Amino acid sequence: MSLNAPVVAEAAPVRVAGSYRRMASLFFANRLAVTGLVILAVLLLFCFLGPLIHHTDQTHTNLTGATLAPGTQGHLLGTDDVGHDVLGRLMIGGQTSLEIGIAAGLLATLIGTIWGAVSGYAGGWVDAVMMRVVDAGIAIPALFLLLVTATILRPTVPVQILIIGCVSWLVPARLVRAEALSLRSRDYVQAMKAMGGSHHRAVLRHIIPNAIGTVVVNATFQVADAILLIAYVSFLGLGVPPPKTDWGGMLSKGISYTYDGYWWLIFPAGIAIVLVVCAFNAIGDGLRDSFEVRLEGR
Amino acid sequence: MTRFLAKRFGQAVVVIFFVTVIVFLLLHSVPGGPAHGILGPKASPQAIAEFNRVHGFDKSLLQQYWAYLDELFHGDLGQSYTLNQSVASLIGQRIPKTLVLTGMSTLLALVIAIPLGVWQARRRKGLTDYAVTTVVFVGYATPVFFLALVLVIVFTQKLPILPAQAPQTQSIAGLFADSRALILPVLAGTFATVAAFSRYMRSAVLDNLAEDYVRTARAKGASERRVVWLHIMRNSLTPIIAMLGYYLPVLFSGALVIESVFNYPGMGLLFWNAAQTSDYPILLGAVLVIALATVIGSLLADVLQAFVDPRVRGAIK
Amino acid sequence: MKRPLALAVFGAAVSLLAAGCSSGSQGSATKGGTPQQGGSVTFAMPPNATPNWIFPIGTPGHLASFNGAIRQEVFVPLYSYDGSSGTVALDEKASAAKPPVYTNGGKTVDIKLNPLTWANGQKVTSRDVEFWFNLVKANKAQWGNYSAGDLPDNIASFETVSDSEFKLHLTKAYNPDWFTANQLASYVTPIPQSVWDVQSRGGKVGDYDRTTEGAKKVFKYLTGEAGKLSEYASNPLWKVADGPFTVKEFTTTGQVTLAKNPKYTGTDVAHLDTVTFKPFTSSDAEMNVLRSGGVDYGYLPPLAVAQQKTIERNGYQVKPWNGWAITYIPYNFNNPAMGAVFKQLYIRQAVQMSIDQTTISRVIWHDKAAPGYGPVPQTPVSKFLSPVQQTNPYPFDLNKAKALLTSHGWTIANGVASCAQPGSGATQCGPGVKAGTQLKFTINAQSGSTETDNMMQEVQSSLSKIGIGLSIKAEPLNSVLDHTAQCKPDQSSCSWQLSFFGTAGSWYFPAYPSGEQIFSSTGGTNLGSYVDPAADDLVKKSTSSSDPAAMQNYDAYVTKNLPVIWMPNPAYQVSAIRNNLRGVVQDPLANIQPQRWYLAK
Repeated sequence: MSLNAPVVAEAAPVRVAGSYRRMASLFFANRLAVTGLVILAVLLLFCFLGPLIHHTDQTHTNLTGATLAPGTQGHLLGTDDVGHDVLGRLMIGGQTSLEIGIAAGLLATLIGTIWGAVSGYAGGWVDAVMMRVVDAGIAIPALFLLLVTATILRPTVPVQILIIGCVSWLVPARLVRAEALSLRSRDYVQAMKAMGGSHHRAVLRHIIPNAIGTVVVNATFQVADAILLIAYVSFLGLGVPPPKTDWGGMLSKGISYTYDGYWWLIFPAGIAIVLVVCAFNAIGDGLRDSFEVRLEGR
Repeated sequence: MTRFLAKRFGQAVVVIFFVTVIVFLLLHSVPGGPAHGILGPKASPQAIAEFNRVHGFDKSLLQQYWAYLDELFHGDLGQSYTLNQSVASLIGQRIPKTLVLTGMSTLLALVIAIPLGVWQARRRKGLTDYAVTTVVFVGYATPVFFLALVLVIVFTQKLPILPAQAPQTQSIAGLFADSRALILPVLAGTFATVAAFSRYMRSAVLDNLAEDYVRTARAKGASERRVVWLHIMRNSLTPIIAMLGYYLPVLFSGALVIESVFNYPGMGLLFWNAAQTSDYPILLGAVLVIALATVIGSLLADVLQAFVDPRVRGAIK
Repeated sequence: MKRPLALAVFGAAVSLLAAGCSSGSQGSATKGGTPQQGGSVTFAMPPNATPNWIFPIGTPGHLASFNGAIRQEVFVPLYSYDGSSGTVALDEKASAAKPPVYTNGGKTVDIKLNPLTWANGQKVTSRDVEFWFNLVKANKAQWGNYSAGDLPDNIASFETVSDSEFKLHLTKAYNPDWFTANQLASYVTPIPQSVWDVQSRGGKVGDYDRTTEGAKKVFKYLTGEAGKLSEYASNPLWKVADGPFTVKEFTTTGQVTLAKNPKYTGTDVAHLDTVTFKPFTSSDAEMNVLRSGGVDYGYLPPLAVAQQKTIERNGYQVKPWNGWAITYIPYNFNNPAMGAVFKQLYIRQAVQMSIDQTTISRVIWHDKAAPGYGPVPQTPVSKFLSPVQQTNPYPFDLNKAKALLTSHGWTIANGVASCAQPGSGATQCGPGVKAGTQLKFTINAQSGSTETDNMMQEVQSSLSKIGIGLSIKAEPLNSVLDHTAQCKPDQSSCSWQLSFFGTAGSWYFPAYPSGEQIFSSTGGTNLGSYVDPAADDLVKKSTSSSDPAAMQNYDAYVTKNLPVIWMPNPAYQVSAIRNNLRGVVQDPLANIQPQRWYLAK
């Protein structure tokens, strides 16, 4: 099932540039990337430090103060349809979205990298089997898996992280495998093996570090995709159970009120999602730039 | 080459088989089966027992799977529990409709994304590059359900120039006859796809810009235009083809959100409704179709890449 | 996708009973104007409603709501109840027979048929009713509505008096109201024996139904033909209609068009030429079409309350359609963890007193749901409603609720109550409740509806204030139903504790709202395994004795005994009816009578 982006393979692998300083300067030369970093920092502060400054009750409902417009009774962004303060809800919703997104994105990258590295390095029938498992994973619609697991398990935050991570590791696996395939024939790996080095060492010490460019760039894209995915999952009604929520859940709820003119139930959460996903994409773009070598001076 | 194809084909069959096993097991992991959901709370214990008997739920899991495989090899995908038709005919009805929608979205997305990616890569770091990239990012970051809703509000309520529903006719010809109604659904699909495609297109072109053969071509005096459109495009096509190959299952599974908002009964909605109503035969059938599309797409992508890119051809040999 | 699935709850089309039921403003929803003959009307069905059966004997999986509504227009049922006369009563015009006469102490039913004709010119006779009974008797197991002990088991014999009169001899005496409304009206339909009594396509018509073997073969053939949806309009079997409409189109996507039956000889003649039932994939999609004027009789998602003005300006009337239903959350009394806790009446009372039905109905449902306090529909007020249920014995009071817990040996720490004084005494937790038991409940709630989600959140919030922690697990309706099974404590299917599947009403009653299916210990849909001998006794009396106070006694007792948590009852839908469409009655039993609709000038 298409959720948002098609499952694709990244283009040709990126190469690691010389020094960290050069990488940093290349990164900061990309204005979009810097903007993304700033936006991300602001959102993180907002979500995790905000509730300490702006106390609101996000566990109990308050039906008598439901759907108040922004500005009434001290609610900067108004209240939602059961009386929660929207600004406060945006903060704790962001905590959930970011926690799940970042953790799931990193989990997906971790599993995918190890799987891809082992598969690409091993080659032969091991590679074939492992890649066919990846094919099988892609063939089973993610939506179906989400639905089935939702009926069996309660979708708490750790469960969501696990599920989304397990659904998303397939892309990094393919990428890293492509990288590993090309790397394993490199001279220094051959040399190391000629000197008696183990496969274990080859994978850990040579393949993965040299694929790190691809991995890091992809990790940021994975996080962005995971955040979108969790928003989609909440829209379909399979999100975290109340009283917790996430931005996708807030947006999906708000959409029921489109025609009622309660814009504060829709746009804050929607804009937050767009901002954070854009930020991660921009950062990923910048990282890719900073790992480039040959484009300098162009 | 033929050996490679034969091997991959064999592996594809194994993958599909594996997928059906997993899906079958997952579906039957619900204790008690789908009877209560399908028959409703007013169902008597006798009705439930009868339902289970008719659909084989009183047999062991292995026996049920064997029966399913047996039917499958005879070309029978089973009968829907709720829609009173065979699964094969249902899927046969829905797929063409979905293909029209997704096909058009994809084509339009390609037409926009490829030139856009090339143009962006050439104008790197310029203001226009940042601006266009930002717009593309926003397009990618906007959840499709939000985007579809905004389109509906703007184009059917605020400026009522387009119909709010996709064409409701059964036939494909009818779909195109009412083409005005196709505009919004296709547009919504295209927005989302363009952003995804152009992200990869841009990186593909960027990578190729740095390649040696570009420098050589420039050194030999080739015009910038020729360099870009002949050499870079051709070589950037490899990842594009790969991407399209992996996109094949999406073409078949459809976009659930778009179909729901625009009342377009395609594969996406069929799947979603079947999942909601525990209509196992449809779910199994749809997953099978999508799995087939995935492995075929992945295979096609690998083969086409081999034709286009000599480097990949070498890697296969 | 936001529209709830109410369909599974419907069963066969049924109707309301007797005098005393005032249906108030929903009685005749639209009337007046100069009726014109002809015209066509488009009716929007709820999301994912796919009619799929035209044969008047339903098999499991073919009991979807609109099957009955559509079929009744083509094949007139023996008896039909609705609110079309202003009060809910037996609708003679829409029935195939005159009101039944009960003799012999309620053991014999004398029925005289109305003069209806099949489309092939032959009269509807007793033989056609006997045909129905014979088929059902021989194929009980395949009949979707079969419940052991009820129809057809309670018919001892069928006696044909004449072509237009027959007698049913019952196995024991039944309450006449109950039997007519819940047995005869719900299911029995005369079917054309002279055309349908065949065993294969093109076969000779015979009296095969009079032998069990033959009846089985006939049934198999007919249900086989009924499985071919695309042939409904062309198959000669289904053309033999006796109702005001015939099937013009019946597609596999769920769109059905009925056309006026020129051969109808009854008194309930249709005004319109055609009525089209349109399927929708989601209520949002339907809303979009409604706003652009694409349907004549549609609905608004309840949240689109602000849209009411716009829709009304576009030329529609907006009226909620309230159903003859109750909505509740069943307790699983056999749940290993919480079963013993649920069995304590004071716990159930505390929970009930934490539900603020009035505010929930007003704020969350925007007044499109009404509070319900017991096992009988709260509105419209009927002769079955006891004063106890009318005045609500458990009003919302969090302090009282908390006090009930603390006075029975529970201490509340960190917001969760735990049992500090186990035992069976008056101030102790109760028999079977272990020391240290914490009040933590889980509820399987139907997903797909913002109102239901909000209602669950509100309940969670209220319960947390008295020390009960509620975890909410949202799943699609079908999953909720699959997981909410009647079970024994040692079965794996008994892990559910509370369950909600009532986004559009949990249980729709036939005309006589007796509780034998849900609140008696032998009830097939007594999901929580509620066992109470006193309740059983009262339920039995309400269906077998003809004492008019029987239902009220049952109602008063069950209201107070709380076998379930009573919840606000949502409207079936909020309808939008085009101004020039008249004659529409929003029947509490969710029936429609499109033959009475007309377009006014």
